[in-house]
Amino acid sequence: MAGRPLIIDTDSGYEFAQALMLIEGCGLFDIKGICTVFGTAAPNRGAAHVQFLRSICDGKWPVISGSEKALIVRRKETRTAADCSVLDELASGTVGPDLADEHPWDFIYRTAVEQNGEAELFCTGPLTNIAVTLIRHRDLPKYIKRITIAGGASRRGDATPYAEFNIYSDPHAFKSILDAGFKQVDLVDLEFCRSAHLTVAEAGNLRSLSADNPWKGLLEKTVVNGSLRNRELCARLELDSSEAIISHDAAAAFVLAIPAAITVSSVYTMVEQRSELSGGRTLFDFGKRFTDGPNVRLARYTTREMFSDFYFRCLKAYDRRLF
Amino acid sequence: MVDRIPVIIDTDMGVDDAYSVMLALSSPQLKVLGITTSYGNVSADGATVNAIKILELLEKRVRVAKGASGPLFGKIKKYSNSRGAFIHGKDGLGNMGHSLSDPVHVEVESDAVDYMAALIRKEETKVTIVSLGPLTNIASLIISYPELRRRIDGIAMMGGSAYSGNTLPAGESNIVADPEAAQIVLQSGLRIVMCGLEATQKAYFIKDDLEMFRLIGGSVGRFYYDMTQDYISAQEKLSGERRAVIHDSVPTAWLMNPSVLKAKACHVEVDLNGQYTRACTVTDEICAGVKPNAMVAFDLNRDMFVKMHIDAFKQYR
Repeated sequence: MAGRPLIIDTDSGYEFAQALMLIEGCGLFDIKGICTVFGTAAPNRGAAHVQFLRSICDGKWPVISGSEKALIVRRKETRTAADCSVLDELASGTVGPDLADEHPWDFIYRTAVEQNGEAELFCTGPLTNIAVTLIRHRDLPKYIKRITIAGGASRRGDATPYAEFNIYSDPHAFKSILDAGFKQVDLVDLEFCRSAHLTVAEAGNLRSLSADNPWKGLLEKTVVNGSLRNRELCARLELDSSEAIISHDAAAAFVLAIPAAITVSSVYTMVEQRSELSGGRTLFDFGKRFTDGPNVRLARYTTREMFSDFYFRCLKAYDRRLF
Repeated sequence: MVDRIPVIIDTDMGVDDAYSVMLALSSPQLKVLGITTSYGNVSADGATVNAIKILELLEKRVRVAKGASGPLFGKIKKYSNSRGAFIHGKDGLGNMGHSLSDPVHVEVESDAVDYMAALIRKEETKVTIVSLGPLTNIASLIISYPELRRRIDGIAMMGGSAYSGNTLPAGESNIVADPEAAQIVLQSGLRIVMCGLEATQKAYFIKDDLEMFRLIGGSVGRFYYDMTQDYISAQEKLSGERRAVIHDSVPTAWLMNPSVLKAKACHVEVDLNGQYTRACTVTDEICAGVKPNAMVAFDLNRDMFVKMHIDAFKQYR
């Protein structure tokens, strides 16, 4: 049986590598292509990472390099080169020859139309590519069954006290998605990671993966030892970084794959675009006190054990592929 | 005996302000030097009349000075007015102000800011300001009497919120009323304890607490019970829970016993230009690249809070 058709839009990084491992490993999806956007890595650099990750998955999908900057805002760099150094090293020399010769906005729309309304979008970076697609092709929402976004913060942010990096990087793009009339917008905010993360002990189990597992080397280097970003995220989420390993993108992939395992709140969501202090902050009207009907399904909670079980089942699937 | 803390209470005298004033005036830890009023829950005139009525009910001789009738810049927001009347009643005292006798000992000073300055100058030790309403009077004091900053020990304020809002999605009423004034106060370098919604939403009385106040508090307890009936109904309509949230007693309770709160040093700035976030007290708990400028309350011991009020009402039986 064919998997659910999926278009991915990402800014790359270690967290996305884990999300892709889950999406391919769970066997539920038919990836139609991956577009890259500025954010954690520049889009060309991100495309090189994705090409490398594609080789791990033995995938055939096209990789498309996209927007290099936000629609309107210009932010200072808030991510460091260390976020991608291992991927840079592994992916060196892979960029270029087989990069798809098409803009991501045209690719996304064309693919969505071909899938007759069954295509899903999975976004783990700033949402600029999707916003440009909406500008160019206003009827995109009718061809998209569901859009799942790793973004937003219902409590603390990671770019500013309140704003999450992906939304902070291009708040106008997120606003255009909120206003576009998509049938289902699932938002996986940072707070959700409090219930969807690995423990350090579980991450240690990655060392005992089969030597033939294609993810072993990358995950050992990037997940087992933790990272500066993990320490920062744990501090923001009031988790102990000696106990928790967080991947926002992997948590979003879990929501994408197993929606039945998630408690959600349908809520009217706003994004601050003007403020100097609060730009990119997502605001949620949980009490329905200020606004009318909901425009987003916000992932609120899952059990950490379900997430962990899903993570390792997906990872083990790559062992079986070798036989 | 430990010296009592000299305080000036700046209030927009609604229902929860009345609890806070009663608590302060009954406290062996606090010495209330004066009360200043402003617009907010009611007009400045209404707040002044209410303050005098409450003082006479409590049989306390404290001078009152009328202050700001609107924010530093611009006009009073319409939704602030309607929200105030909905929650505190048209008279600001739960529609029960008429049951109190008209003021007899009317001693109203002409200008709240000048009066605060005079009180601060006169007092031998540093003075603490308890802020229960919009911060307009206090910001005016800081701007117009900069030499008095060193005579101010700190500001214990009810206002703001780290992660929510009540008048707006990210805005708390006292800050929404005058965001610029709040920013001036937060940037003043004075010691500030910000009792925002995270803590004050836990400062509530249930029906049994109010019955207790009525039983033990004599005529004062009976008036406070009656005053709180419409207030609790209005809050039930907003939150779905039948609780009288007494936000304004929190800074007073903290001055009486700091262990009633759990607070944390944070950097707080007021958002002045947000589309959805104007008046949000942007609270950086991590203080990344910035210095803390306020102790922000995140939790409250409700049992201790209720007990403090019971002890206060006992003085009026």
